[in-house]
Amino acid sequence: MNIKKLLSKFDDFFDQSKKKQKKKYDKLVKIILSLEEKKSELKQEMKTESKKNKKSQAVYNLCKEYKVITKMIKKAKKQGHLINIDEDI
Amino acid sequence: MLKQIITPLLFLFFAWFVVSNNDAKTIIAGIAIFLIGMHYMESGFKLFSGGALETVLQKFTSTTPRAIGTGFLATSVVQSSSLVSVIIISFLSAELMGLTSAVGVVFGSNIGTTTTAWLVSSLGLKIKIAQYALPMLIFGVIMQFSKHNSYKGLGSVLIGLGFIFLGISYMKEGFETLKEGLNLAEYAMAGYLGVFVYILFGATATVVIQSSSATMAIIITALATGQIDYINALSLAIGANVGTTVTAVLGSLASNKNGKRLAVAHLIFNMITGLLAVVFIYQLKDLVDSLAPLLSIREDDFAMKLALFHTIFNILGVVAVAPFIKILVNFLETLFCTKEKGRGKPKYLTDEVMEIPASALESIRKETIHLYDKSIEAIVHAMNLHRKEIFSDQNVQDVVEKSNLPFDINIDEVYHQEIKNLYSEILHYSSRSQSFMDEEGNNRVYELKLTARNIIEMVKDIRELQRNLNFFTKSNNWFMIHEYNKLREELVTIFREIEQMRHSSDDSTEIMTHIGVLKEKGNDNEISMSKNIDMLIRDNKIDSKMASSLINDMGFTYSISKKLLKTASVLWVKDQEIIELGDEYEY
Repeated sequence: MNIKKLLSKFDDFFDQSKKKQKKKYDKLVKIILSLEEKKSELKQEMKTESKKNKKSQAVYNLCKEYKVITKMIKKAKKQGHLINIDEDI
Repeated sequence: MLKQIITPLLFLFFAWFVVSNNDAKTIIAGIAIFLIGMHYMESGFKLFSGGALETVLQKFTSTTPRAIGTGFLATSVVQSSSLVSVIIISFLSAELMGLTSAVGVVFGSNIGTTTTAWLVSSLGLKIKIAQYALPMLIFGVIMQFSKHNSYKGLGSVLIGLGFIFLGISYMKEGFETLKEGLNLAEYAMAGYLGVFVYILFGATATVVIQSSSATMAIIITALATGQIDYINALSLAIGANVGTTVTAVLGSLASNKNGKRLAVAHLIFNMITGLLAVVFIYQLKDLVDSLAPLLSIREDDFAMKLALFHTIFNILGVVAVAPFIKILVNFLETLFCTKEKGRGKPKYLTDEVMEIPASALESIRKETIHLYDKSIEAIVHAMNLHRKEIFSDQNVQDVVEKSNLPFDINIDEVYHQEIKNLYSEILHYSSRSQSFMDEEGNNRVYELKLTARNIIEMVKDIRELQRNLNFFTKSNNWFMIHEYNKLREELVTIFREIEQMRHSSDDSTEIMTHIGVLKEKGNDNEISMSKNIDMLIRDNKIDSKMASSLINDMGFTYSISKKLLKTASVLWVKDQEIIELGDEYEY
């Protein structure tokens, strides 16, 4: 092993930024998956509630939650583009 | 005056003694080099661990046995009980750790500190460590030039180890040459008189050197070179343990109540341990003799036997005191109880916490929550409401409609007397603590500073709103009363929701989603209220002056509402990634 390789191995070992980036990447994947799950649950709930009364407070609340979660997923995916998160989803 | 003369005279005498006595010079230089080594090791580990030590101490101390184990491991690895103590005191001050866990860590740390004796008696005396010391110093210094903190920290640890080895080598050499002219072993004292005299020597030496590890290194090297008797060395080790508590107590005098309480715990523990060791010194000696062969320690290897004795009597102390830890903690909690700090004074910002990033961040967060609570109290009163009603189960509309009498509160006075000072203290402390933090920590502090500013701006916003609120709720125009009540309802709903979020066990995603929903609803309400005001103007229900006041105050209300939600996300959403996702979510 030449000295350059050895130094780069040392650098990898001590370079926390790569480890942090990987950690953030894994965490984002986890967040997106849980948000997607929540989103599909909400969709189902919205369908059921809409059947009862389309203009009820419950439907309004669910719509708001759905909108927020959709925006959060979008944002998480946007962040993920920087670290190729889309490849995993 | 006398002090001014005596101190330089003592110093001159000491200088003469060192210069004129070659053997003493070598031994004292060895002690000095050893102490420098300890200092480098401590600062090196602090830098090298990059917060890992703090994380370990915070996470693995939930039960007393775990706290003892973690204290033992942490001190054994970093070879510094004082570094562990500093972190523990900062955790206590930031309420990141309870007193029971902290006392457990102190107990474990006492066992951990005995590993220095093992290091000196095994590595230090068995091999020619001075040969390894020099390469360690060379590589340590080279690593200091690195831009990475981890390299620098590792460099400092190497320099520290190098100096420690070099120091031991000098001490050993000094004692060996001293033996040719003066044999201290001739002054050995038998029986309990000898035990007490040597305990006093050990304690005094530790108080003077301010390090029990250094005292142990001297005792072991002196014992290995035959300069002191074995049983006297055991007494010296007990003395070093007692002496180190004096150092801890002296160090805690300038500390806060947590530092003082831990110093008392340390004192009680070491006194009981010392007492047990004195009473059973001969039995412990026999126990060491019977255990030594099991650990492959030779019969005549007194240095290793001393290390074993040191560990055994500290374990004995833990076994004896640990079952009474709750009683000890109850007693400690009655000590150093200070009166509650005055109004506008910070509760959590103490200097002991500042150098430990995790504790400093938590202290700043808690102080910002303190600022939030104070400000919310002022805001709620300025809206002619009571916190008790706001945070009750009563219908929001009922709460608002019932509370329409103006409160006797001067928001300017409250701001200047209580809130502004607290805000200034947070800013000042945050800026000072940022110099000890990495980029991530700095970003978090910056976020907390912005949150504190948001809170202050909310108080300023309510100042504007209060004037019109008091004026129009007394007016005869029912529409204006109704609209102002709606503004109050909007804020009461947010206060109530935030209070629930604050005490809920929901995960970060759920809290952030909830905050997002509240933002969305706030947006809808603002639009709907604007439309309503337009309608009131068109129908001549309110005049243009009323309309402009109402529109302005609607602006203040929704500005407060947005700031409240932003504040809640920073203070109570634990996950930074989730906060960032919510941050981008603007409407």
